[in-house]
Amino acid sequence: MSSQKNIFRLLALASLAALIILPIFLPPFQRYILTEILIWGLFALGFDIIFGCTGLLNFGMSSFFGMGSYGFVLSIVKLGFGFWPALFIGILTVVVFSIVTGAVMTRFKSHYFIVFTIVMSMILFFLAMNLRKFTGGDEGYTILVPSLSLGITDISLAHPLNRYYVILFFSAMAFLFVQKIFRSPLGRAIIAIKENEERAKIIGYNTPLLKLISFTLSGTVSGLAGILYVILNSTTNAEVFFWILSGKAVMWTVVGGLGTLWGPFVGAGVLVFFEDILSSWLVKIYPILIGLILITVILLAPQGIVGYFQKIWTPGGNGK
Amino acid sequence: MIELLISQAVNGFVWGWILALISIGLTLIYGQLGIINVAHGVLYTLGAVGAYYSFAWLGGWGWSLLLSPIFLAFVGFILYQTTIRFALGRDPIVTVIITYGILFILEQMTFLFYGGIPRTIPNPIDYGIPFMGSTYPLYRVFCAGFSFLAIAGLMIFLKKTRFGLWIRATKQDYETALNMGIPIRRVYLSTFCLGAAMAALGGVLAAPISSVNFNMGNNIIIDAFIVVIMAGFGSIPGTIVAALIIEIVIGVSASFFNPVLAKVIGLGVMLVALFFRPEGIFGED
Repeated sequence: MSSQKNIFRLLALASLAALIILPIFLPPFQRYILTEILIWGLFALGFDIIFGCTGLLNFGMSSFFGMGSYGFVLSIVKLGFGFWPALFIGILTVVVFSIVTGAVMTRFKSHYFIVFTIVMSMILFFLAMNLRKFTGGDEGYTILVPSLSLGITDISLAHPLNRYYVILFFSAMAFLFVQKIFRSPLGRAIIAIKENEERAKIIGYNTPLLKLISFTLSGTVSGLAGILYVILNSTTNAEVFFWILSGKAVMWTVVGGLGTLWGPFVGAGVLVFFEDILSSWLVKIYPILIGLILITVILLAPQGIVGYFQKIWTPGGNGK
Repeated sequence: MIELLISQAVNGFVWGWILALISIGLTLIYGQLGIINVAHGVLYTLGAVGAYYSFAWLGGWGWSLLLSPIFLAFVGFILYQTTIRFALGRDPIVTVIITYGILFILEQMTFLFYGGIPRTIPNPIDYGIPFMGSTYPLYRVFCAGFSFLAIAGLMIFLKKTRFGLWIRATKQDYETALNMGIPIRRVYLSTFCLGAAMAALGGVLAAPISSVNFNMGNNIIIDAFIVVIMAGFGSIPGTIVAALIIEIVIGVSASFFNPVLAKVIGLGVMLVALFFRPEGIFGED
């Protein structure tokens, strides 16, 4: 087991080093795509937590993304907040929203849960399109993201490289935090719900509470991605609530590997890379390719890219 | 005001029947094959696109009432043989993702063939019937009537024919049906094709009312899912009632609020209904 563990540790360190050094040499467009991949990977990580690790198919992930980005943007636009207070309000918005909706949603099982989450995101989308005074509708807001003050010095977010490192910092922190949780007894108990909810309940776990915790964690991670999206693009609009975005989270996570935590980043990396690099000359058949990839992956390697390598590198184990 | 309310309710009633056609296909496929067909909306789109081409090429919209369902049954056959049959017996979530892939492929093919510009078909029955002091388009009444006949035909088919008996038997008890020598695979295949043909018919009927666009199915598929769940999976009468309720509520509230809020109200009604009757309007069949 230990040699496999070392492979993964080495891979993790190597990719972190690459993520730190590479952007300095990348041309602006490629660097932008890399930044985007970090954000979409984090967004999909939220989906992996609720579905891959807990077994609840939340098809309304765009709600949290939208809530986070709007919480952040509105506290800058309407309240004139600086970076840290706005970040705090943005995260607080998602946490409160996740706890309130999660308390209702997690009572429902299987397809009812799916439909309730879709409907939640659709209602939010319609409201955001409609309450133009508050949300700006489909034009949304374009803002000047305030500088990030660190006490002794201010980091201006006008420079793309600065934005990249800030986004890398937050998504890496969020990832490590989530990984820590899923290696702790709390995370193990959440995974037990996915394996067999009845059994987890009989053993004595408080399954409703665990589901709510997972729902909130998942929503918060996706909401943080929404905030980082604003930091990258200085803009948000009602479209972020649309269900297509939730569908993308499903796609990225499935292709990357459900329940692997790394998977969402790998899946988003592969597919967004395809979309942005290939689509310039394959634009016409790109969606057809994506459809074929999805069907092939789910039929032949339902464990996804990361899951596949974990399986072949770990004899008889699950690679965790 | 009251005239507006009533005509909106009648509009909702007409749309409700079209939505029922689509939702029944969904509920049949789920009840029978255990497949959550996310690509059902594209089949509806293809039906409407077929209606456009029979108007443009064959000179008459009416042909598509026959040709679109046949074409879509054929598309359903290809989909079943190439992908759907590998998804049988898998986790419902897996079927969602597979059909999501099909949605991507079919929608893009429609886009490449048909183009991204919405086109309209002139009203095939250009006649208004006098109704509360003004006129109401006869075509819409025809839509409701035709959908009603198609659904009634389906129900008679399921109740009275040997094949219908097979379909119901397979749904009730897979093992026993298999032991009795029912050709399960053929039953699955024809159920899928039947569902596709129903969606196509919905598209054909809707085409002259709304404009024909390559992604028009995306708007109706969510409504159809809501109807199916509100009705309780597999119940055909429940599906009709749920579709009519949803569309009439949306239609009537559209005369008070703007269309977007009306849609939110429709969704709200569905949530309330599910809260009090989680097993569906008539329960699971």
